[in-house]
Amino acid sequence: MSDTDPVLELVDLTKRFGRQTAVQGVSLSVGRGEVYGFLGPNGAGKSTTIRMLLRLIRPSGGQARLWGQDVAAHPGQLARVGSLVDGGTLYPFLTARQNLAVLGAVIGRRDPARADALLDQVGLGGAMDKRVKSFSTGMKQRLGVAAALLNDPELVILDEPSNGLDVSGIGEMRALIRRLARDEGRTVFLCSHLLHEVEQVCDRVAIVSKGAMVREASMADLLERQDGVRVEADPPETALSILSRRWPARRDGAALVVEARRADAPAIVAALVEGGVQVFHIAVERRSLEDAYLSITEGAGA
Amino acid sequence: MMGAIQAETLKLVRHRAIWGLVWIFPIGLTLIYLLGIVLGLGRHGALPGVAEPPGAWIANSTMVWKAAQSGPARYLIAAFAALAFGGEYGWNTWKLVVPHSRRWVLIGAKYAVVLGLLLVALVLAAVLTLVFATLVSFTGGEPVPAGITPGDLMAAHARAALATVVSTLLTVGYGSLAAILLRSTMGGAIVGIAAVTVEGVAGAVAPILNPMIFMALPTYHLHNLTAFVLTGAGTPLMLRSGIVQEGWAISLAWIGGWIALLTGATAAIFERQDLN
Repeated sequence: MSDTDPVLELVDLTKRFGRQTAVQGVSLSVGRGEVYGFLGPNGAGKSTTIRMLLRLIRPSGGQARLWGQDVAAHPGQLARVGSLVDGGTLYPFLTARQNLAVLGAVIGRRDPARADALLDQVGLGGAMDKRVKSFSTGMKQRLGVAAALLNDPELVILDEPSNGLDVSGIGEMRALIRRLARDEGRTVFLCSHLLHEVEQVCDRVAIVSKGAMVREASMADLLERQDGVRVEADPPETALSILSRRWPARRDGAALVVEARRADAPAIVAALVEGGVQVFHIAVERRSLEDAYLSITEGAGA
Repeated sequence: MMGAIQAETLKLVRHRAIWGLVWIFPIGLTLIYLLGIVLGLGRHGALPGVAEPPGAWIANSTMVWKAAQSGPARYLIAAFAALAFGGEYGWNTWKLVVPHSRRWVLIGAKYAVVLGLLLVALVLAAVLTLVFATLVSFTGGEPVPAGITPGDLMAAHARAALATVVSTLLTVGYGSLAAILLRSTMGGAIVGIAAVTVEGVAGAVAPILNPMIFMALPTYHLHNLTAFVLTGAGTPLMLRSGIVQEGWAISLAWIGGWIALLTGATAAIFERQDLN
């Protein structure tokens, strides 16, 4: 296994519940040290996909591979994975410390010092000995993250890690995800509906809709594809005619909006000048992941 | 497996329901004996009790094991099994542990810990029985008869414990299978208790039941096996077809089969279950 081989691969992963197909042929791969975003509307099949990967549910078809090995045949590979599913599922009658002790026993790694350090790290240092049933949603979420990191995982799977967190908590979570990947070299598979969060921390993203993958791309590529170039030129009708031959373009008031990348800006100007059009202003409009996500999922009929 | 057993113990001993379902055995016995001692002190000065024959006294000292085979005690045991197996669904915690362990290991650990904790409670209750019986003899109650040897005492308790383990395994099997099937503590407890009740009722109406069906149920074989363990002889049964009496090996095979069926089905169903 080399460093360039994928940590996680999903190959044509499918799940059917009776006649209903929840996940249809999802394939993706995540490289070592990547922060990979897994996006999609509610009910798109994100959680089902994660649960198949964690052996919580059985795939109807396809494979989930970790470090090149099929998880169904080699479940021991999950010892190298930490996961936060369903907002931190924990024993409500136990304290935070006791919860980590129980999990530590299951994974064969009872290390109270590490557990305490993790609780400190996620901001629960002052609530270690409080029962989880008295925790707020955000505190449970933080404890879930500590539980996910208890086995010092190489791959961290986080399903909506910011659910229930306040603004500062969301910021801390973002910083933690960055630290896990950039400083500690872990691979992070992040499922989140907070597109701003995903945009800031992920290297690549996959977008699923109605159980199927509709786009997988690097964040830079995804955003660049969504760039628009705004042009003010005279006469605008002639400019629109020239530009429409090479790029999708439309009128937006007195200006034109061309669906092109930033790198296309010089060619746009050159085409207009060659066509005898006067160019007064040109600007690249950078769109957010949210714009990209909406156009992709709406295009997919989500 | 040891890690899973350790984890299971850590969580179950900290759940408050364990006080009402498991520790109730030594606690209840302590309360009963304390009441007895107080009443004994109250009649201080009256004629001292008459000592029983040693055999009867030893048999009485194993009452806690016999009590654990009774319907109400088995209800508690079924409910405890339902809590251990069904609780994970209510707490949504299978998702925490299943990725880190093989499922059959988690199920096996639950059986080991449920049975282990019940045995600890019953052993404690049996020891308390002996301690309190001795104390009672000093407070004007029934004196401890002479001629009781530790060997006789240990042998009687070992036989009673063995019979209790068999009925407890069967009861835990009802509760665990129901909890895993229904994915619920409450559902598991209700069905587990219903199964214990049906088992008991079947014994009462045995003469009017189809003999083949009745003999396939665990009811008679559990009684028969218990009788063999405690007295060395089986127990006859009046059925519609006449009186029957099976040997210990036949009853052991039936009860072993039932326990294997219940625990095996629990593990097999959980192995294939989707944890959404």
